Amino acid sequence: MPELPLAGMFSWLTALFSPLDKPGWFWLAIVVSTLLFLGVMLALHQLSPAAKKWLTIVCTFLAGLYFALEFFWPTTYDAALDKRVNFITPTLEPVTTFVAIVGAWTFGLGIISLALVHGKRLFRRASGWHHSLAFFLALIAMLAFGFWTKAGSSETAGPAAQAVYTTLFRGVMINLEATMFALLAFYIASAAYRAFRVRTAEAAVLMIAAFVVMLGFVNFGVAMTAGIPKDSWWAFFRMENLSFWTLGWLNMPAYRAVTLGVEVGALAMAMRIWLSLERGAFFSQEK
Amino acid sequence: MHEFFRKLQHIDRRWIYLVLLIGLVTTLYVGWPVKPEVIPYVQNLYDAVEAAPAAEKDQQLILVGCTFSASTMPENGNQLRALLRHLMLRGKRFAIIAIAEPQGAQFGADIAGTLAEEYGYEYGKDWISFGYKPGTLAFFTAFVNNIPGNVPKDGLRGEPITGYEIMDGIRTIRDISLVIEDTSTASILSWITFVQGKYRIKLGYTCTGVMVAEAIPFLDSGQLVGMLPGMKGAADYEKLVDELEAQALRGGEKKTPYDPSTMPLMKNSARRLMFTQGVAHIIIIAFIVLGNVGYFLSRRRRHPAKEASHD
Amino acid sequence: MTEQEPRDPVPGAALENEARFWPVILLGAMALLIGIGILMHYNEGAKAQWVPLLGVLMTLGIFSVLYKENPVFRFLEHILVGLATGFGVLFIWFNYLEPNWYLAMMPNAAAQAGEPHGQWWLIFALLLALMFYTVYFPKLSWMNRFLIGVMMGWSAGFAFQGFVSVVAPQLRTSFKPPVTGYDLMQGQAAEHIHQQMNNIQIGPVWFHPFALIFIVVLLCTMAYFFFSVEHRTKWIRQPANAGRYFIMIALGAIFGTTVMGRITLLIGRLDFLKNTFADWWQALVK
Repeated sequence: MPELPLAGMFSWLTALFSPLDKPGWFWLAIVVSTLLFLGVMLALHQLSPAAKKWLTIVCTFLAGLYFALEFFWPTTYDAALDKRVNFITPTLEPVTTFVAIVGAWTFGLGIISLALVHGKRLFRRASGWHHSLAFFLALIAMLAFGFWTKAGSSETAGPAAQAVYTTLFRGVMINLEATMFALLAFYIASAAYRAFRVRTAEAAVLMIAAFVVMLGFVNFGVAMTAGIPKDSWWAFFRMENLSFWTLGWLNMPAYRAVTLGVEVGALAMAMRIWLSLERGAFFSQEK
Repeated sequence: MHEFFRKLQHIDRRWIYLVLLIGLVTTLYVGWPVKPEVIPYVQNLYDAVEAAPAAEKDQQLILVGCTFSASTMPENGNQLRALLRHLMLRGKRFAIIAIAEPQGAQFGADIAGTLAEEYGYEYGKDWISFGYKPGTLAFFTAFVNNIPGNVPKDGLRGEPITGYEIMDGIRTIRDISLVIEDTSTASILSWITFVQGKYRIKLGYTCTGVMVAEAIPFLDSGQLVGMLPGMKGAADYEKLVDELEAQALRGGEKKTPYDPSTMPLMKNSARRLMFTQGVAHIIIIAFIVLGNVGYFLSRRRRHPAKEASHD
Repeated sequence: MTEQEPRDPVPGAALENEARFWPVILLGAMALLIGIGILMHYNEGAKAQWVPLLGVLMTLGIFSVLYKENPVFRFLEHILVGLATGFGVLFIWFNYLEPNWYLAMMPNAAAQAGEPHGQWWLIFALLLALMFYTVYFPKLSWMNRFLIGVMMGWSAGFAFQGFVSVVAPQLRTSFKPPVTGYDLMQGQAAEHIHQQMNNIQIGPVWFHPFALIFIVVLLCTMAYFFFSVEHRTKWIRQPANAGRYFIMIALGAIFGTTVMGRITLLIGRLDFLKNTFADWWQALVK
């Protein structure tokens, strides 16, 4: 593989991106970076909508190119790492970690939108304001005691703070959450009873498959066909084997057919996003 | 009579809830541990665990993903308990990690910690928690190449991970002999993409009942070595582990049988709860049949001639 | 008793007929519970029962919705949302952002080998992430769209690798020959009845009936979703029809396993209640 003439460039990049441990230099770097970033953003903000659109298209393509190149560029064997690498491979870790940090910061978006909805209701004293108050109390209590006790793992926070955190997490939160999901069992039972009517042949097929799977998983179902000897070919009709067969040889190919279709569609969709052919959602507001 | 069949189709949902509730509560008191027929997916996972090298001399670990929250604790928790008992009985060292579900880290550590006391497992030497990591594309890409670098601190005590004995010789994903993802989310796709697909690391799957059907194509293609389907999988695996433990008790390697009631939130064994599960399935099937009987009979009464010609 | 519960149009708002004293009752009950909790912590015996007591109250409070939609359920629902949101933040910070961003960025002269420190350029991660938040300012919101676009492009670039890892093995193992010249089990004894039935030796060849079923189901289901050709001739219509039945079987299987999963969650909850009551009973009897 031809060596790229990047070695010289990498050396000064390495010098620039080296850790700063003296607080003075560190904060200078932070301030300069922030100003630089804001300056660039301010400059970009002056661009026309069309230019911004093109900027987004180019940057989207370049961002997608990273993994595409990493995947398609020829590799050579690296004995130290015991795997095949190309010139992008060493950058994978820092670059992907960086992007993940950017992504992790999005947690605030969810909080802001919840706080907006509930804040409005609370300040207007609209119907159900006390529910919104409960939301804020719970959120603030969890954040305050969570950070105080480092999510229950701090050794310096006192026992009282730890007790409050335990109460919030183990006493209230996990019980509420588990019970919320447990409700679904009741709903599925009543929905099955009301909606499961054998009106068509398809519905009949669906119901038989469901019954076979449900019975094959539990001992009462297995007991129904326990009389069939296990070592004969009739054992196929034992409930547990029938249900396993339904899952493994009828459900599996049908599901795979669906999956293949979906995945091919997803790949095509990814290509459209990468090449900015799929625009509606992002650019319609720019017009 | 016709009115009766019509009513049969429109039982108030609260009666259904009540019958279900009574059925479940009674059998929680009067049931007994079942002996399930182990389905092959479970046996395959058991065999994969048996075959995975994870002793100290192997310099390899088994990685157990705990990607679940309190909401699916009865399924994923019971699966995890059965699985970890197996690892501990066989002296296999393991690490737990939670991707995409923060609570999983706590529950995984709770369950592993409680079992560790029973089975004499030492934290940092025989098992370790990697804590919660957002299971993003970026995390996985970095994680597979450099495990200690991406798990700088352990998830339980927050101390530097390289200080623990268990991490000696563990650098990349190739030092993981088997990954088992215990999950209620779509996290398995991440493991398939980044770990199984790229590095051919064996991958086991323990999932909630809802996700069983969609996982089966991956078992057929060999991307997953085995699966515990919901509570059924937990009960089946528990049966296999109980048999193994019975051997250990006979051989004197273990002194007392495992007592499930020491586990907070999961004081009954999966096999015991599977009895109640069976009753619930029968109740639901009975209600579906009841609704359909009412439907057919009321239709026949209303339009006998039309029905006959329709048939 | 009506069949359908009336649902209010605004989620989270109070119910139409909710009495005015409910806020007082609910907030008062919350304050009372906090007081009881503080008192219980002064007694060693009661302290251990505090978390289970809350658990039982919360569980019963949520189950109350089964009888009828009510203000207590609504209140608890909101508390859950608040707690879960806060918990998510805590964990992202303590398990991801603090070690990988904050500690890696801040200067630390005493850092040990391999411990990241002083990586000042990580400030750009925060600055970039702030672009997400411009969504609340219409004039600047192009930054949000820019960043989301770039992040989506980044993920899209990965689609090739994802496709190869996830789909290629599925495609490869879809070629299951119904008749082969070799033994699928390679002479080993079949452990399961299905393996025996799927590996029948007829003279010099082996016949695999399940592979044939597999191919039929796969192709028929694909035919059902294949819209490039109009479903007019019987060559496409009949397989597509059969495909519909196979999809029904798959849906039935999904329904069956879903019921299993949901019931388990309920059993887990009831088991918790049962065990807690049993503990309390024991304590009382003693």
